[in-house]
Parts: sequence; C-alpha cells; structure tokens
Amino acid sequence: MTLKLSILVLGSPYNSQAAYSALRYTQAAISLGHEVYRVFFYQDGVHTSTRLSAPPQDEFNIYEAWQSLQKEHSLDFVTCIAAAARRGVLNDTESKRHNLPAANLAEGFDLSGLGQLVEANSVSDRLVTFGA
Amino acid sequence: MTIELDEISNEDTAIESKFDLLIVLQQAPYSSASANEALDLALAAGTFEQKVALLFIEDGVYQLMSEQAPDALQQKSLEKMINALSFYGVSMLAVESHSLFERDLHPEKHIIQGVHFELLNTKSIQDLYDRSKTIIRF
Amino acid sequence: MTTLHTLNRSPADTQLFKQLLSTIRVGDTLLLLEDAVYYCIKNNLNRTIQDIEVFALKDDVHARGIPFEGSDVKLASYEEYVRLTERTDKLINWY
Repeated sequence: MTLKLSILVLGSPYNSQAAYSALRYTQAAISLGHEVYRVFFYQDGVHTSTRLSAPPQDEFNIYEAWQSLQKEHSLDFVTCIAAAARRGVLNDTESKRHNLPAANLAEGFDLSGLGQLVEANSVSDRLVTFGA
Repeated sequence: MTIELDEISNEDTAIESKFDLLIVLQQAPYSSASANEALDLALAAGTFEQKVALLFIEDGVYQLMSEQAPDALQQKSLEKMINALSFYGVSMLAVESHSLFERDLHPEKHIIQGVHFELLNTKSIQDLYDRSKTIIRF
Repeated sequence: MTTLHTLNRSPADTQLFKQLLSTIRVGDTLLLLEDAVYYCIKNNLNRTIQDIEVFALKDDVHARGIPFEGSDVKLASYEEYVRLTERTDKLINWY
C-alpha cells in the first residue's frame, strides 16, 4: 500500500534530534516508494531551512542533507513564513519587504503560510510530526 | 463550565463529531512561543474550514488563566486569541479536568469566562483522540 | 482501528508517558525513538504496557550504548518505522 505522507518538523537542528529523525524517516519513506506530499517546517524547525550555516567539516551537515534530498526528489518543502520571519529566516522578497540587509532561505524551500500545513494534512494519509 | 472537576458536563455533544485536526496544548504560556504558534495554527485551520479541536492539558491549562496581563512582558494577549477561535470556526475547546484539579485551579475562579470549554476526563480524551484524524502537540 | 504511537522523550518525562498510557490500547504499537530508547533499560516497561507491541529505533539504541540483551522490545530501522506507519490506521507522535 502506497501512502501519501506529509512531514512536520518542529525542532531545531541542534536543540533537538527532530530535524535528523525527520530526514531519515523521509529518506526511508521515499526509498519504500511512498509519496512525500510536503515537508513543513514550523516553530524552531524553520532553522533547518537556512543556507547560512557552516557546521565543522568533520560533522554531519544536516542542512546540506535536507537540501540535496529536496533536489534529488523535487520535494515540496515549505517553511512557515511567520515563524521564520520571527527567527531570522528570510527569502529575498521578505528581506526587501522588511527592509533588512540579507536573505538566507536555502534553495528548494518556499516561504508560505500555515494554510500549506493545513492543506497537507487534509490531503495526506498521515502527517508525521517530529517534535522537540 | 461545571464545578465538579471529575464530572463530564456534556459528554454526548462534546465528542460526537470527527475532527481533521486536534491541537494539544500542553505548555505554559509566555516562557516560549509555543502557545502562540499553536493558536496561530488553530486559527489557520479554522480559516480553511477544517474541523479543529483544541485540548488544553497539563501545564497547557495555565493558558486559560483569567487574570493574564501579558503586556507586562510585551507579549500579545492569549485571551484575545482564544476568544477569536469561535469566529474562525474552531468547533471545540476541551480542557482535561484532572490537569485543573492537580494544579488547584477552579474553573469558575481562575479560568477565562465567556468561552465555552468542555471539561473532559481521561476516557473522554481517549474518545477525542479516536475521533481526530491528526494530532499535533505544542 | 489500530494506532502507531511514537515517543521520543526519556523516562524522566513522566507526564508525557502518563498521557500516552491513557490513550494507548490493546492492539496498538509503540515505537520508542530518540531519548525514549532509554526505556529499553528499564525492564518494567512491558509490565506497564501489556499487550502492546513495542519497538525501539535501532540507530537511536546503538548510538546511546543501550544494553539490549534480554529486552522484550524489538529493534526497528527507519524503514520499519515507515512500514509500521503503513500497517496501522493512524499515527500519534508523543513529544
């Protein structure tokens, strides 16, 4: 049975294991042939979607791993626009709109509202949540 | 709200319907953005005409204290957000009665008035989970 | 209807475990991940939740150096976590 799955990431990369566990689950779901409809990043989970991070070279790069997973499978990654703006994760449009000096949303992620999470829940067989 | 903490008031009306989303609020307010971001999601889900239920449990019941003055911490009023829920179509607000009891909170004395909360016992909460497609905890 | 419950908090979070216990039913499945794999050390877990099939995420168990011999808990990979999602009707994540 193929499931339509959506993933919700609520924890930040270094204060929780949420972003890592969600990554491994998403990879496994894809490898087993399930459809990953959307990955939604909310609360501190939005920190996963920055492109301005540089973990030491001998450590696993969780940001890069998410970015290449998105690219490889053309996944729909949505970061909550309000939660991200509060925490300093912005794309070019948002950065200009708030009159700020830089943008840092990683490629492959979209900023959008909570409606995208609500919609993902209504069309998916399961919403799998990774909390902190 | 009823006064008898371990009695369920409207068992039938409380848990008849099915919910697309059950949001469980289990954290005290102000020390984190958790309560705010949970209520934001509730408002969004209501706007998109999803059937949403909220369950306040454990320290989450502190979000319902009636004398909150969050401007002292330069924070927004949760009470206003909770009052707005019904306008956004959020169909059920539930409170675990035992969580109030354990915290010496009395519905008529300590909890926001003018909003209808269903007081649920453990069994009714199990039913609420059963009737909800998805559960998100905050 | 069967539910897959996942828990990711250590045994110190007794309030969360209490909430889980009041919701889990015979025939449901429990998957322990992240810090919840420390429940594998405590042998009283299976006495607390009888008639529930319990799994622990293998990589989380190994990473934390948890002695696993004699445990009634089964080890599961991330793929098996996905298969458990498939096999059950519903999912509740406890965190």
